[in-house]
Amino acid sequence: MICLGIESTAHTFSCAIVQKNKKGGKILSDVRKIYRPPEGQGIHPREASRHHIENSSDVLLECLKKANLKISDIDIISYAAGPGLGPCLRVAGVIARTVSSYYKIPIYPVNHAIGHIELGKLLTGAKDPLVLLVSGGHTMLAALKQKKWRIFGETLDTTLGQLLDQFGRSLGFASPCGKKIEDLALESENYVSLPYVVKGNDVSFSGLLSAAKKISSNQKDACYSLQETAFAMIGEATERALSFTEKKELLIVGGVSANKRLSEILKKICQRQKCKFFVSPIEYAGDCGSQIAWTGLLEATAKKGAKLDETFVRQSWRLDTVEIDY
Amino acid sequence: MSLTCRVQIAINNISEKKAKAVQSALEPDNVDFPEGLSLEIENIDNALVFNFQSTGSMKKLIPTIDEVLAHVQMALKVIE
Repeated sequence: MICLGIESTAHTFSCAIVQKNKKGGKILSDVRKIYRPPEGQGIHPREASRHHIENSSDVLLECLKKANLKISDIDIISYAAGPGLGPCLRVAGVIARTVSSYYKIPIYPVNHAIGHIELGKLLTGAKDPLVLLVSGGHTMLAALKQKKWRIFGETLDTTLGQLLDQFGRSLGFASPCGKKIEDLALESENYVSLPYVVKGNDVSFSGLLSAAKKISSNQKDACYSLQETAFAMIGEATERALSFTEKKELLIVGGVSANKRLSEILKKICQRQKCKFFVSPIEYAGDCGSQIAWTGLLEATAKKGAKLDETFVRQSWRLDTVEIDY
Repeated sequence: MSLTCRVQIAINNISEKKAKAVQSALEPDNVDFPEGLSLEIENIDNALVFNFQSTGSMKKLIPTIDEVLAHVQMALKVIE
């Protein structure tokens, strides 16, 4: 079975084609165009959606071309229906419905966060992991229990990706700022004390962000201290969740999973907790059509496509409300 | 006195199949409109007709028309 997946929840517009067979899944193509706001500025939803609209048909054509397929070869279509930015979400929704209606192809609305998790599982081979999802849109620990991804800790305010981006933008960096902050952090070992807030098993980054901005006259020390504090908070919540759930695998997915220092901290935690550590490959760590296509294929094993008039986009769609039937 | 503004936009010479595809792509998002703003989409003969109506503030009308037309253009380009 072959699925065309469309992703447009935030910065990235992406189309991907994934094939599912008895052995698993194979990514046939994954094409992306990323909206880059001006330096020092964050994402503007309308501007991002305009970018996606302008690039949509070219990305779709290139995706089909790279997979060496025609639209008639596609068995199902899936799109990221949320969570995300309204104007951006509607782009993928409209394209998916148009193609579905015109070519009579079954359609599947997919939860973007679950897409990250399922693609991470496919690409790493993790079977039943505790998942740490860290990106611009999410910071949460989740594990599958009784047909739903249950949350074992999350951010109470800013996500880890937003923390890094907002701090980076305050220094005039262009989004996404994670790599630049990681590089600067490597040049310092001078830790400046910053607010460390873990409540229960949830984290809060807003105070940390304000405090880090106040010490940003020395960029290297500030980046180092910010990373060490934020990642230690995430590490504490992760280790407690591992201990509580007794999972024997930890999988990290989302754009921030590309950070090597975060992986280093989590690896040590896994050694202590005697569990396997999996990281989503960098190429597929961030938002991409493959995560949506693969989740669509999994959904198609358990249910029929949605009726067109019931296909929705939902800006706030928590993954713990989604029933997992596959 | 509240101001009411009606805008009708027709896309002519469009095949019924294409018009149906565009209509069914746009209609599911025609929900949760700001108060006083509405949109009806009709597929009449060889035309796709969009009827916008705004009562009170016009602030949301123009961006809504702009987004709907951008989506129509995108949808038609995708099925070309």
